[in-house]
Amino acid sequence: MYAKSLGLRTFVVLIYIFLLAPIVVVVLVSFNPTSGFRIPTSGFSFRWYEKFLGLAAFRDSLFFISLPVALCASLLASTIGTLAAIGLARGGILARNAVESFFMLPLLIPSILLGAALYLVFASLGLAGNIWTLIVGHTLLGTPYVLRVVGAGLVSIDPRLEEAAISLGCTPRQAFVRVVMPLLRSSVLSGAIFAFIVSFSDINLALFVAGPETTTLPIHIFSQIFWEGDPTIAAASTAQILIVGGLMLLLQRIFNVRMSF
Amino acid sequence: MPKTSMSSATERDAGSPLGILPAWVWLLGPYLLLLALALILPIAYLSVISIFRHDPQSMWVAAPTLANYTHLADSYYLQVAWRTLRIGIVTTVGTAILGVPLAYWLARCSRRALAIGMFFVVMPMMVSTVIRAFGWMIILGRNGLINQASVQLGIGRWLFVMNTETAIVIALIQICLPLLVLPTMAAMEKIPIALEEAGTNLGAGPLRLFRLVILPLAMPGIASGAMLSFVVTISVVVTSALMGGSANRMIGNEIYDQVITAMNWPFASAMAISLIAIVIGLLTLSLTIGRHASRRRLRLRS
Repeated sequence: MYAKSLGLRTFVVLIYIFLLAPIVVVVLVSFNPTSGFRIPTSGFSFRWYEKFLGLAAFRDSLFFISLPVALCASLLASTIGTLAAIGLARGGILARNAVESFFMLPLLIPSILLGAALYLVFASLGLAGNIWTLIVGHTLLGTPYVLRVVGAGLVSIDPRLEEAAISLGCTPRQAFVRVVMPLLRSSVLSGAIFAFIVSFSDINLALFVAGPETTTLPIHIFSQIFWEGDPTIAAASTAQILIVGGLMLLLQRIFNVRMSF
Repeated sequence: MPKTSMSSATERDAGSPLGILPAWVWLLGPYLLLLALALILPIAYLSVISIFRHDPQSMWVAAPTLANYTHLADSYYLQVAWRTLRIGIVTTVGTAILGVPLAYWLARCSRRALAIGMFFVVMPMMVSTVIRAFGWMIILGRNGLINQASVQLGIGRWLFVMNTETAIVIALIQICLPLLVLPTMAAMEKIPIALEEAGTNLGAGPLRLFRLVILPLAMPGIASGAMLSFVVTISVVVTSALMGGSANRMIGNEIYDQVITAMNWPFASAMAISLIAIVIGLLTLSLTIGRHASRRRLRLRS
């Protein structure tokens, strides 16, 4: 009733400014022609993007670590998560609510603790710094998102479609594979995109698990903030923001994902 | 019917390789395996070495001791723990003050505004926390945008907030806002507008209506969002390192240093296990509160 009151609207605008300020500022500074952290007023420049792509450490952390890791983690998480979502919805599991909350555990336990715990295990096994340790950790972080999205997709499919297929002569399994699975495709893809984003922007787990040979882009940005004082970091960050923002837009526009969890 | 369809299909296909096992095993199995190997096992390992003795060569010696936990009672670590809790509480309260009105607006705005509004709540949540801390450093720093602007206006530098707890809290509120807004909005959406109209007809002004009708009904959502914010806040590493400097270290920074730099695994594990205990305690508490609240609502309805 009061959503249209001027006071509330002003407050909401201020909060959005607060929410977006740190992101917008990074993007603007990346186009600054001089080497200070200023918002460009007299012309835009792409020199920091050239420097970003020219520096092997930055380039490799994006193209050889962050992107492949996110891709593998997203593939694994969407496979594992989709199977688990189907199992939860159709498996006739006892104590389903308890199992479901147990499955959300990776979201609830702080990821620095997951990172620390994983690192100690991997280091004891002599596997620390291996790229697969990152992939395993990120798969764990991404799977709950896939579970949520695919689970919601399964609930929204009309059960009568399946019943119709069965009454037309399909076995229950055929009905599931031929009717439900195709309808589930966009949910699975949305879940995969979420898992990709989670892996791509994670720093808390990577802080522990990533080794010197497997520095992800956020980790490299983090280490450069301490050393470096030019907008190359801003250019690298903008690349990150653009990829994440673009994927989010894709989720909302194409897949109509309801953005609440 | 769909509930039993998988299992009956499995019985029929008992000859196929997948059919030997019940359906739930190969559906839930991969995730259960991942959880067991990458979550349960590592945390169990952590809790075991947290009671072992530290050894510089082999990391730990299997000699049970409580020294790692008693070490946590040092005044330095108590100070770090108190700072962490203080920042957690201030951040959570601040997030609720900013987030609840935003959630209310999202729950009541037009569909078009909702799509845009939701996008700009969720998109920042997905951008790496290190980039957002970097953005705040650019805005709030000694030579940051705010001070640059005031120098140009002739006021001179006046904002010296970097490397203080305030800077950490500002960055953390930005991180926690979406976490609180999403569940709060979900709870507020379910409140019928008729209730607001009834309250207004009975003479309640906007603030009274908010306090007596909206807030109590949205409480489960606010509580779970606040709990989530608190958990994120007390386990932060990057934000406190960048915004707080070396003088405002939080538990996460101590854990990181003990694991990576000092390599005192038993002590790091003791800290991590204590933090997990706090998190699990909070989760249980919020679950009980949630259950209590829903029971009370049922009683109201009947």
